[in-house]
Amino acid sequence: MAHVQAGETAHVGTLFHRHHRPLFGYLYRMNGHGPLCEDLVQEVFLRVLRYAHTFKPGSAFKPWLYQIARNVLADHWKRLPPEVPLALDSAAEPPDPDHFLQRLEADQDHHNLLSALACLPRDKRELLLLSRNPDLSYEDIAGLLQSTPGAIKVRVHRALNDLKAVFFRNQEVRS
Amino acid sequence: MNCEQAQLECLDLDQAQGLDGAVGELKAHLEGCAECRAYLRLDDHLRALPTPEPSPDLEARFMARLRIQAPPTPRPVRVSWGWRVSGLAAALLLLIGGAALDRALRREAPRAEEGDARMQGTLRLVHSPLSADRMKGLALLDAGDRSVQETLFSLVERDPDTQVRLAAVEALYLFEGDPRLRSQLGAALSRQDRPEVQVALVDLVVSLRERRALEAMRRLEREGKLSGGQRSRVQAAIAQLDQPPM
Ligand SMILES: [Zn+2]
Repeated sequence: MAHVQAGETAHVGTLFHRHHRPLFGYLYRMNGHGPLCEDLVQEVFLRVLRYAHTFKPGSAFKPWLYQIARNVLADHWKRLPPEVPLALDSAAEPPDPDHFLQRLEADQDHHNLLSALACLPRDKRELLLLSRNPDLSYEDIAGLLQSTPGAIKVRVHRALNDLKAVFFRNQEVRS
Repeated sequence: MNCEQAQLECLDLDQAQGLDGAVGELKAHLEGCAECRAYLRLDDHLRALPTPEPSPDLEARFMARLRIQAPPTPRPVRVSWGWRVSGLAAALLLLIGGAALDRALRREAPRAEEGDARMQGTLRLVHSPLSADRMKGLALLDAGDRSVQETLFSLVERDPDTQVRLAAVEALYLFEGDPRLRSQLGAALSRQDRPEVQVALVDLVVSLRERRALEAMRRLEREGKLSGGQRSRVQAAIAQLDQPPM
């Protein structure tokens, strides 16, 4: 039996090796704290080992992995004070597109885009990160968030427009 | 087409092509609408965000933790094709192989004898004319079966079923500690003719940091029949391998 045990550990090790970097990227963009995210990544894969028997036959691995990661994140957030909702002035003039593009193209190191992303409410930030992850399709995300691919696309669209507004607002405040 | 419709369609455009990927009505709309061009550009920037890297020793720390926290040994269960494997090990193999392997495993398979015959049975499956059987064989391989590397490479190169080729690439990860695997990757990539499999091999090359395969990757990037998304993935892989190791 010892070799089976060793085999299981090796299998989880293989999964970790293959998937921990993009997963770390997702967790990092969700909460921006490197050492904490490294702990969370490890917790995700320990749960993979613990819950391997619950993996549904016929489904794909990556959405399952991200579902576990979302649960780990949710458990982490439960220990923190609740999020302060973002106040976006819906009556504000939409940014002039040329002016906006200028600001965007000047943001060479993506610094301003990242801080705008960090200002978004968690659910919108998550939606943008998941949907721009090349390993997950709209179908996968719909499965994760118990929605439909069409509805997910509309939500991604709204989140992108919010990101645009926050990006522009932050720039205006700074200048 | 109004802006909302145009922007929703923009969400499906290929990242690497950006504005050039738009055709028909969407293209016409984008040409006349600065608002939607700005939206598309924002999405491009979002997709191009660099992936933050964890510390280089994270994997080693996790492996150490895994050894300490390994769960209690599960009882062996008898699975439908007659081999005794632990339920958890089987589940993890499914995870490694993904859904395609799983679909194959759920089919009924011929009984194989236990013990030494297991390896033979596995190889028989790998060489079966049915692609479902070949997938099943791949799921049953483990890192002890070193002699099968050649078989895996030949499946990667010649199997008529792309899913089987991809599963064979996944199975190659089991041999990542073996220098023979690394030395063959460049050649395997050069001989590969299916873009999905080429990209899977590139992922394996990057994961092993096998810089001898760089030339084959550059050639693929220049001459391969890749989609925009696949090409940018290969470009990112080349950039990653070009960096000196940390
Ligand atoms: Zn428009």
